[in-house]
Parts: sequence; structure tokens; C-alpha cells
Amino acid sequence: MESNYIVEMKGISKRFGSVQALNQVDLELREGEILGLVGDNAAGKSTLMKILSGAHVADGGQILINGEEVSIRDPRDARSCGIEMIYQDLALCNNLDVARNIFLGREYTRGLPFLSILDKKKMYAESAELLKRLNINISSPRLKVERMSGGQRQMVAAAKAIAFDARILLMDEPTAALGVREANTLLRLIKDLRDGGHSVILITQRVPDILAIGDRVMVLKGGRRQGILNVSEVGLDDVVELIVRGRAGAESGEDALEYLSFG
Amino acid sequence: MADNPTPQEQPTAEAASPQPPESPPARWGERLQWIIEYRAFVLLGLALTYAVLFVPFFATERNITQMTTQFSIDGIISIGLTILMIAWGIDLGVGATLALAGVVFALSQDLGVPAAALLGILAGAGVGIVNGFVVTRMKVNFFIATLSTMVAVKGLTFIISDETTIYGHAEGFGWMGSAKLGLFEFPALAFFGIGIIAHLIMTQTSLGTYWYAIGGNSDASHRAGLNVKRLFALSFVVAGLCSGIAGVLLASRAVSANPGVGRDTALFAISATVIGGTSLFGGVGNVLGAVAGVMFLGVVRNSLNLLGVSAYWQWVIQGVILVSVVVSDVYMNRRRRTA
Repeated sequence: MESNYIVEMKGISKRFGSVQALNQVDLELREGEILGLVGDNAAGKSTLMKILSGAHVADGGQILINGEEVSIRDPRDARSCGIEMIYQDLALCNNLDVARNIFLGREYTRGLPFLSILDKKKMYAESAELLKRLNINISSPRLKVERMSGGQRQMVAAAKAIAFDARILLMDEPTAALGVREANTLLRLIKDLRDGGHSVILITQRVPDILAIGDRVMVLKGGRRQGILNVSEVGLDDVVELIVRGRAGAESGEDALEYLSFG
Repeated sequence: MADNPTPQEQPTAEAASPQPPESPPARWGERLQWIIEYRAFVLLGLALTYAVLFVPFFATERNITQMTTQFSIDGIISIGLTILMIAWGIDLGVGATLALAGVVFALSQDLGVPAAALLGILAGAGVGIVNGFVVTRMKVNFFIATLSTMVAVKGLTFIISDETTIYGHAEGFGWMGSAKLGLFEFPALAFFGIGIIAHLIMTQTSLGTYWYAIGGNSDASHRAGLNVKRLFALSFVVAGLCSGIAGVLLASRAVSANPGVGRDTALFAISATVIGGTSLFGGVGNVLGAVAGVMFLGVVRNSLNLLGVSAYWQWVIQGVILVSVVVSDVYMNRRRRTA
């Protein structure tokens, strides 16, 4: 068994009604790499990541973490495997401040066992430290998330994910709603996370992002894996070619399949 | 999803996409937001100033004592509703629960007043448990659910009371409603005490944070591992519990339990809560604001009475106040959504 893969997904299939969203898809994530997951709409990228994060359960296939087979049936299973998904729609409570979001469900408390009192001092101090360590430009962990820009919210979501030792981060189009400058700041953060030993799968429509910071890029089309490429060996055109035309080239059959399925 | 059709087009699409606003909102906007958030204190200050200066007999010891007791009984319900509404629920049947608790208290008075009071309060909490169960387990919309239990509870109250007022005869039945410390009677002290406890729970404990969280974004709370259903159900129990306490206090004060009380309770309690800065859209609100909202409405109601304004005009005035507050809440919610 290849032990330098931190995540292996083998032969993953998923069907929604009459639509085969994923068809025998394999994925290998190396420890400490950024793997881009690209493909057109409805290619199956999000479905594959939802299976890894426990939001969906696969119809068939295996998931191995550090070479050992695991069963991921809900988000809690995924979390106990060190997997944390950062959703496109964020999963933050906008009405709470940064620290409360980071620690939601895992607060530091003291005092009464039946009514736990928040240790706010500790939570604010650790949040501030975390933001500083990740070079996140947010002036105070006491700020409410609703007052923040899209990029700042993405960074809070990332901080929340790694605050509790998630080693494997799944990010679903984190830069999609951001301006150029904010997107670049976020990409730098993702790179820093990789350099800090985290393994990242980055779903994105923006291939240049992956070419800028990724190690490898995997292409999905019509619920099938088209290839996995080393970023250092390919250019934008190669990846785009694979996204648009697939492994087998432009065949009318594959195009038709694409419109039937969704991701 | 209308994402970019081909990767080649992305650079232009990116340049064309609007930038999120990075600068904070304008100063006047912030100030307006602050005023709206703490509107209850501003309104209370204005109403108090007017009442003290222009309303005859308002600033007398007798009137202050009576007025505080009056608004406190409904006010306790407002506090429970504030927590429920922060968790993005509402209970339209608080008035029926209030009546049920009073009747249960009076019916069981021969067990001794403390035990009877406890039973009355538990009856209120029991209605909350039923509401929580129907809403979270049977997935009924909370408006429909609490409206239905309200009707059932009303019927039950009339059945067990045999449609008559039950008088208090046990030793100490009326103590809770009339014991006095300084200017304030026991219901007022209970209202302020419960307000402080609820405020501390909402701001200092993980439970309070969870209620804000599920009201703000229940999906995110679920993903963070919170038991959203149980927390939501518990907020209904809190509202029921507070209605139960209010019902017992009301019966003790009147030294009798009338099965027909509480018809205007929900209107007053919800109005006060919303005036106090709690949003109808969940996740936003605070207990101290609700306390101020209760006091504001109490002062207005009392002043109108002292000025001899007819009950019908009082309804009109309360309705206008409620509408303007709801409009400001809708406006604030739109700002929050687009921020």
C-alpha cells in the first residue's frame, strides 16, 4: 500500500436518480501538497468532495486515510479523520464574532458542569494568535463576521478549519466571489498552510490559480477522472484541453453525458 | 449555477465581477444602525421624560409600584420570547400558556403554595416541550405549531377549570403577587432578576452562543457539530417556562386564576421584544433591550391610562408602534443581508 498518500479514494461512484454524478473515480492526495480539482460545471467535483467530507455517502468505492480504510458517513466521521471542508457558502454565523465562529461547538469553558461559562479571554487570545500566525489581516477577533469582506470571511473559515488540527482541507471555490487582490491574499494563505504541513484539495474554476500555487491538478469531466497532472510539467492550455475535450478527445458521446450529469 | 462557460474567458469575467465593498459603511449609516440597535433605551428615555413632565400622577410611588408590577408579568414572557426569537422561533400561544399555568397553580393549591407554584411553572414548561417536539421532530412550521397548541391549551384550561375562576384560599396564595421590597413588588423583582440571569446566559455561556448561532445560520451550526434540533426545542421550553412563571405570578397577584386571561399577552410580549432590538429573522437581539422594550411599552400604556385615552385608541397606538418597529427590523435585515 502506498503510504505517502494521505488520502486515497478508489472507484468512487455516486448516482442521483437517473444521473451518474461520479463513475469509478480515483483520487490520491499526497501529504503536504495542494491538489487542484478542476472541471466544467457538472463534472462531479463538488460531489466528490462532499463524499470525502461526509455530506454525501458514496454508492460504491473505498476511502483510505494514511493507507487505512475508513468509513465516512457524516461530517463528524470526516472531522475525526482530520478532514475539514470549507464550503463555498462559507458555513459561518455572520451574527457572531470571529472568535465565537472559530470555536463554535468547541468553546473553552469553565465553571458549572450543567451551564458552561465561556472562557472568553482564552478564546479571544487564541483567536488573535491564530489570525496572526496565518497572517490574516483582521484587526480583532471581536469583530462580527457580518461586517467583513468576502475574502476576510474565507480566511476566518480557513482559520476555523485548521484551529482544531485538521490536516486535510477541502476548499470549494474559495476565490470565486473575491476580487483579484483578496483572491491573491487567500491563495497565499493556502500556500502557507501547505508549507505548514497541511494537505489541501482546491476545487476551482480558475485554472491559473492552481497553476500558480498547486502541486498537481486533477481533471474531472462527466463524472470520470480524465487525468492527474504535475503542475510543473504542464501549461494552462494542457489543462484546459483536458477540461474541455476530455481524455479521449472530443467525442459527441461524452459531451452528451456532460449535460445529463451534475456536480 | 451560471459559472464561467469556458476557462479561457475567466480573466475578463474576473475583471468584470464587482468587487466586494472593502471600506466600512458610511458614518451616518453606522450611527443609524447603533440607534436602531439600542432603540428601546432611547425610546424608554423619551417616554419616561415625557411621562414625568407631562402626565399627572405618573411620578407617584403608588403609580410606579403598580405600573412595574403590571408590565413585569408580561415582561417575564418577553424575556423567554427573546431567547426563542434569537434562535429564530416564535410562540404565539404564550397567553394561553400563562392562563394554563395560573389554573394549574390554583387547582393544586392544597398541596401547599410552593408545590403548586412549581406545578404551574412546570405546566408552562410542558407546553414548551410539546411545541419543541412538534416543531423539531414533526417538522411543523413554528407559527402553525404554536397556533395549534395555543388552541389546544386554551381548551384544556377551560376544561380543567370547569370554565370558572378559581379563587385562592390556601395560606400565602397571594404572597408572590404582593410582597413588596421598597418601591417594587415581587413580580417586578422577579422580572429584573430573570432578565439579569437570561442576559448572563446569552452573553457568558456556550448555551447562549449556540442559540445565537442556530438563529444566525443553522446549517453552519449543524456543520460545527451542534445539536440544532435539541437547542431549538430547548428555546421553546424556555419560552414556556417563562410563560408558566408569569401565569403563577398573575394568579397570585389576583388571588384567583381566570381561564380566560392572556388574550393580549402575545401582542405585548412580542412587541416589547422586537422594540428591544430582537429581529424577527433570528440570530439578532439582546435581553437587556427586551427589558427596556417592556419598560417602554409599560410606561406608554400606563401614561395613556392616566391621560384617560380610551382602550381602543391605545390599541391603535400600540399597533402603530409595532408596525414602525417591524419596518425598521425589515430594513435592518436587508442591510445585514447585503452587507
